[in-house]
Amino acid sequence: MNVALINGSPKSTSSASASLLKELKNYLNKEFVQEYAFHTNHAAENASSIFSHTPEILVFAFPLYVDGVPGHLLRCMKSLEEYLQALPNENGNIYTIVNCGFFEGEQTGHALDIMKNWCKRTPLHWGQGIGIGGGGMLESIQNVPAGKGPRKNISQILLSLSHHILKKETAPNQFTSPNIPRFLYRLAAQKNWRSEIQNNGLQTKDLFRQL
Amino acid sequence: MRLLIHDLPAEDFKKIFHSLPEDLSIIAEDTPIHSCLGCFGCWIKTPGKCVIRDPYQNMGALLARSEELILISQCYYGSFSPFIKSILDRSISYIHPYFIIKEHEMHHRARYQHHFNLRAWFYGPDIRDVERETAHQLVQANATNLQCPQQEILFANEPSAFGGNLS
Repeated sequence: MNVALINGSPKSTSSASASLLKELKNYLNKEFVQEYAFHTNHAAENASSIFSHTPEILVFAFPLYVDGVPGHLLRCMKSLEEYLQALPNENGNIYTIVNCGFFEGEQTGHALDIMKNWCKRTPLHWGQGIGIGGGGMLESIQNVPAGKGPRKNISQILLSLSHHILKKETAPNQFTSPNIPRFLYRLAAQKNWRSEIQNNGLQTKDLFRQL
Repeated sequence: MRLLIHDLPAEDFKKIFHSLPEDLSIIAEDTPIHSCLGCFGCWIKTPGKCVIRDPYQNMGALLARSEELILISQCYYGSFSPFIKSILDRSISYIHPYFIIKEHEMHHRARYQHHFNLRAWFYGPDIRDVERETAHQLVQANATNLQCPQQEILFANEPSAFGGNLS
């Protein structure tokens, strides 16, 4: 079995998607795992030259953009659809992890539906979708040990996903949030925006600028 | 002002929509669009404006001046097409980074007091029922997050079916 982990974040460094895939990889047999990055519009062109082995399992991870799949990744999916349709790969499965800045992981549900609809246009089968809220803090807690503190719920859901991947099982979508109260996440996020804009030489009131 | 964003080839658009209302502004893929970088520069570096310097840089301010947003898009798996979706992705300067809680869910606070109605017209020869359902839910979620008072969603096999809709 070979597993393709596909990072669909537009960010080439320091993304929540990368940190989620890093943890998932720890739960999989690393010998079978290949990692790919779809950061740009053209990342999946010539898909046949991208994959070193025909993937049996595709695992996508990406951030929620305006309630759906990021535009650049939709373009990649179209290229990949054509590539996958030409492969004798009817036993493959697709799994997807979507993270969002909102606290409730359930808000990724429409993006997971889009991925499932895409999957139905390929010969592969839908395995499972995972929706993770609180995406804004995932990178900042990556040094917290897996399964502990704010990472507890997320580690549990990733571990469960890894079991489904390794057994090539289908499972219902699952959703979770960081293991902290929602009001604290909201306060921390707003403090972070004030800090970020000040680091750029602007003032808090500039967050409210209207053009 | 009404804002129309479409993904049709220029010749097709001209054939379908030959007489256009005066209050209509149109955005098409005349220049290839750079997709959103996920940098949040439109909130913390150049608030209200995307940091990517191309013709799609001022989407937030354009939406703030529109009474209506019409999206004509090929249906991709129940989503907008890559061009239309990239435009929407680059429009988040329209909203504010702070969060609010609305009907028990977290959403973004509005940057502007102004609101626009959202009309989404999807076309494609082979739109499946499940994709229509996804598109319905997606547009509803977009309307909630962009704080649109009203939304409309239409489907057609061919974009020409929308020819009489712009009055």
